[in-house]
Amino acid sequence: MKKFEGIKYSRIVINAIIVASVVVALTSGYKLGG
Amino acid sequence: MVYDGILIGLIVGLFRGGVRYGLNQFATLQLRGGWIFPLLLLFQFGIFYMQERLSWVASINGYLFTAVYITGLIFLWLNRHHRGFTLIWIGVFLNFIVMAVNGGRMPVSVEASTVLGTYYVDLLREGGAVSKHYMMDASTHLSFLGDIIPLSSPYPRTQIISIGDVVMNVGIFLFIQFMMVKRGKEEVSAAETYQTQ
Repeated sequence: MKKFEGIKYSRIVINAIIVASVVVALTSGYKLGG
Repeated sequence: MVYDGILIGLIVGLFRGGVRYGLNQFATLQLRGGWIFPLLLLFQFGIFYMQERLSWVASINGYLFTAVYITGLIFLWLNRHHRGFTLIWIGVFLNFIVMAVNGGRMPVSVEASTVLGTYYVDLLREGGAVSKHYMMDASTHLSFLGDIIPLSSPYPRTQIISIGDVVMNVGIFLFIQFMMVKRGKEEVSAAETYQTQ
């Protein structure tokens, strides 16, 4: 597992939330979340 | 299609760039005003919740959705230096335009929505809970930019999407690829130079 040391997982979670929010908030698809 | 650009982008990116490099890159990503997007999503959920209970919110929801898209477009524009964000911006803009000229709501083709089943078609006809959308009719402007593309089996999820959604998801896919896959020295150097400005 040493090769994954030093990665800032909190930043990954924050960035994942941001990128997902961009798409979910601004998409227009009908039947959201379907 | 809502999350598909992200999911496919992440999976392909992890295969192409490797897990460690991909995770590192994702951790170092800095979006200008990125905090606004989760807020916009929460604000939209707030509209969905409130419009069922307060009639005045329901009466102005078109303006509220329009405001969400304008704010989103502004913040996407601030991040246009990231590869793929121009396409994301164009996709969101296409959705925004068709919503703006139709009272702030996205028109959905009834013909296309039949793939979802009668429940969703009835919901659309009643114009009830799904207030970000409404049934497309003869008075709809720019209907070709509305939700007209049905996705169904063999596609894993059944949905109706717009041309803007497709463009947006291609942009997200390219953005994730650019971020997670190792680039040539010149490109990396150029991107780093930009970030330090």
